[in-house]
Amino acid sequence: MAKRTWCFGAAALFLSVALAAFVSPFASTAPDGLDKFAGEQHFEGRAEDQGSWTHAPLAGYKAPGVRGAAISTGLAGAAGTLLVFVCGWGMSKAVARRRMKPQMNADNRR
Amino acid sequence: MHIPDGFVSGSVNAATGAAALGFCALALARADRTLGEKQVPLLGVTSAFIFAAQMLNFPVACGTSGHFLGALLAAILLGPLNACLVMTVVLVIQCLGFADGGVTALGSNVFNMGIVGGVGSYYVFRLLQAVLPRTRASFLAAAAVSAWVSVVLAALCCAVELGVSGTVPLKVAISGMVGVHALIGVGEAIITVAVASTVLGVRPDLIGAWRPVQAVELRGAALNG
Repeated sequence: MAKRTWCFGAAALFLSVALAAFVSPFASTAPDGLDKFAGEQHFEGRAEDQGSWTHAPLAGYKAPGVRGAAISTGLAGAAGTLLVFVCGWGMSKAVARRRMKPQMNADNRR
Repeated sequence: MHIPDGFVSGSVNAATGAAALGFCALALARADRTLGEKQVPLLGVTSAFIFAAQMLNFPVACGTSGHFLGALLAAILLGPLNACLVMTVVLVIQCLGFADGGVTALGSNVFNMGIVGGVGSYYVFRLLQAVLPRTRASFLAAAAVSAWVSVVLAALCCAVELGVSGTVPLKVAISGMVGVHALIGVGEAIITVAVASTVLGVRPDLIGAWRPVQAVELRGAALNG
């Protein structure tokens, strides 16, 4: 069971990284619903994306110093997907730790 | 639907941020009960998938694009509180790493997409599940409808935040935001059903909200016998 879960997780993670790396460069670049609405209502100028946080290493989903928009977006997407996985997994591992032991015992008994 | 800095007022962000923090604290406190051996890696993989899928903007009408939200998908896989955690991880990394969504608006973004989009739409899903037969088709139908609802509700909350902040008149915000997100929600429904039916096909045990009729009958029989 554990092995099958591991295989499923690995396959889903691989698919996610592949989507971010190879499909995201071809995604629509049109403004999203909120940005489009902000443009129509002329309040897009209020956006201060650079105002409070200027340290985003992959701002705008672009890897810095990489030539070629598609490669830059693909690299940033793949890196972000792996980072999100590590953070999500790490967080759930940390908060679920208390439960892990009794649950494993319960599984063994079944 | 990621709100940048400057769109929503400080007091609105403070209120939504407080609610977001409260829900996340509750989710973390409950996680030791809601996350089993299988759910621990699944939470990481679900977060990664949602991050990747959110990069895939698809065109909708008149020069606008939309992207997958994933909150309802996370909720039917992992439960509503864990969906809130998934969306928070994704939104924090998008905000700090990719400058997508403002730091001051993080509370509003978590509130709209995590709590309203994830927890709120999950109860719409449960309501539909309660009235529909316990079959695969109606499970997917309920997922489709509540996925659409998740995007529209999140957009409605975003519109109310813009209206209350005085950025744009409330009525204009609601009609503008809900209108376009009613279209984007169709994409959300399609992607949610595609993923849910795939997982249902290969690993139905990983879908926390999947309660087929056989399991219920077996449980009933076990209780009686």
